[in-house]
Amino acid sequence: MTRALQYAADALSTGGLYALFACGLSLVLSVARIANFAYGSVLMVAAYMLLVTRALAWPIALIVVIASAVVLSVLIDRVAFAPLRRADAVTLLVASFGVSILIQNLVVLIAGARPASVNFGASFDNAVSIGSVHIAKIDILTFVVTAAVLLSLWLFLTRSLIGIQLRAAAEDFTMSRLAGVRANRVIAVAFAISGAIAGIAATLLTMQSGSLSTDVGLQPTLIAFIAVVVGGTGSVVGATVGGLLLGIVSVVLQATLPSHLLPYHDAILFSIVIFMLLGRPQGLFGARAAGVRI
Amino acid sequence: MSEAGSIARALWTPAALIGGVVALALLAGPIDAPPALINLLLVVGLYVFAGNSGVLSFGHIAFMALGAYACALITIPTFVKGALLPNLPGFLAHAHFATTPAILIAAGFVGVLAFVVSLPLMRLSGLAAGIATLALLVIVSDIITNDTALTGGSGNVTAIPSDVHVGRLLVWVGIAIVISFAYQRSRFGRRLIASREDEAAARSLGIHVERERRIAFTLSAMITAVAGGLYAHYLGSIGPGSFDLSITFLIIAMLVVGGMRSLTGAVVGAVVISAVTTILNNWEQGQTVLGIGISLPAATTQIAVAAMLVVVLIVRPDGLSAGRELRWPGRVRLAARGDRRSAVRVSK
Repeated sequence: MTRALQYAADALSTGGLYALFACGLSLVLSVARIANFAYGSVLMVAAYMLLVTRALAWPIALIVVIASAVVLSVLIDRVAFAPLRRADAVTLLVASFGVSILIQNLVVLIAGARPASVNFGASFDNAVSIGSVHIAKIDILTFVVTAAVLLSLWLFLTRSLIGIQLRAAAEDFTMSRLAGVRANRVIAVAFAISGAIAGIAATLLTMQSGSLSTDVGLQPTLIAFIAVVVGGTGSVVGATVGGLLLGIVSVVLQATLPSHLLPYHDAILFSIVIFMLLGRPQGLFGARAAGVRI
Repeated sequence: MSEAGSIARALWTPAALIGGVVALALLAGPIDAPPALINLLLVVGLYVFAGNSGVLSFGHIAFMALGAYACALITIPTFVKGALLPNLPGFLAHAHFATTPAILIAAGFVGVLAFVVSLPLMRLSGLAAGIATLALLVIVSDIITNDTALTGGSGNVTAIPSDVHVGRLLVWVGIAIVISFAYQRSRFGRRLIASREDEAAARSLGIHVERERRIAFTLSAMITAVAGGLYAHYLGSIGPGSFDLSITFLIIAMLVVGGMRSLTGAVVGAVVISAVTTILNNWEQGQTVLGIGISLPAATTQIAVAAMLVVVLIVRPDGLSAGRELRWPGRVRLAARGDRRSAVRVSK
């Protein structure tokens, strides 16, 4: 019982973090139709900003980290994607792949390839005990922050004017422009929010691991991409739920796999995903007729 | 005359491409040419699927890894294998083949595997399929890193006979270019290209898009596996670190910079980027190239390739070749120049 509760806490924390990765990626994907591989490099730069701002008080450091992620994310859109607005999805995907490699290697050039350690938020390292269940404080924090971010994102998307415009653009970009939505502005807002989420996710991730390297953005991007495919491309809610499920299944595997299979954890997780796609190629929440309609 | 002329025109593209590659390989010499030729083979392999279908695969390096390991495991001398990998299953422990049959066996094995994997993957829409192939790369590298009995785990598999040189590579590159060209001129290739240009229209003509994609995916995985086998036999030692995202990126960059909509583009991209990376790599290691010696920091090559990729996409989105094949010089047939760029793109 105790064990089960412990794993439940673990599942919520991992699932929450994965959901966060996924919703940041899918926001840009659904509005701007860009499968943005550079999302991971925004996350990585944000994590490095934690190292840069380590001398500052934590609220200021946090603001700087998130602000820099927002600025970088919008900047990538302006410089790399804006000239490619009319390009097809594959071109955009490749461009974002190029941008991510470019940024990653620029950071290698500046900061070096060796991993660094960060002790931002070290006070969250220990655990709280509720009865006989020990839950790491960072897991609780991760879950609370994720819930808060998702809730405010939901409020923003449903209650604010620009949020509603964002959803309209995600539904039908051309139609929303005809109705007066300013294309470049909604795309910039989508990139800004995506950047902010990447900044928050980077902070949580770095607090969990305590270390930094230039490929820190890779795993989250991969998870986010897979979560988007699981949930159905083009649906922010689908991707978020996809991320949550991926995290939960991942923890369940960790708990139930016999020890000689544990090293194959990722391989098994992704095989499950591929098998799921055999049955539901459009994703769990994708519309059935996802093809071209004429 | 006219029949001979049309045959000559049909053979012109592959012949000119092979001729150009042979000349450049001889110019580059026995040290710089082999890695570039292996990359060229990987790009042609990826092109067969991605170029003709318009669906990009991020997972092809998985097939390279599988080809390399499969090939290595059946060519390492059996007595060495007993010491290196004592826990190999019986049939692998006793298998011993010469390099060329081993490469063909590895390609066949990867082909079967790729076909099985393509069953779920090719049901996905284009973008999702490309992303899902990334999962394939993770699965394969996870297995290679952890299945110690089969692959030696995260360490290297060594003692692979290193008997691959420029000549042998050129033969395989020639075969790959001919197969790739024959495929795109076949009815299978033409059906797939039709689905790339307009999926809905192709379906309405009765083209089974998923099936055509599966065929191309399998063929392209086999060419990639051959490149993997040759890679193993060129270096003589392979490890899981050789098959990662950075080589994935390099191969995709080559294909896109050259222009992923034509075989000429695939070859030109591989040649141009290989030239740039070879020169920059030499400078990074403090050597002189063409009498110029600059010492560059380690990340320069990757930055240069990434920058080239982004700039080409913005300035010339269809790549250096603009999606065209090399044409028979002199006679330009206007009808054939119906510009592909003017094709209506359905925005989804």
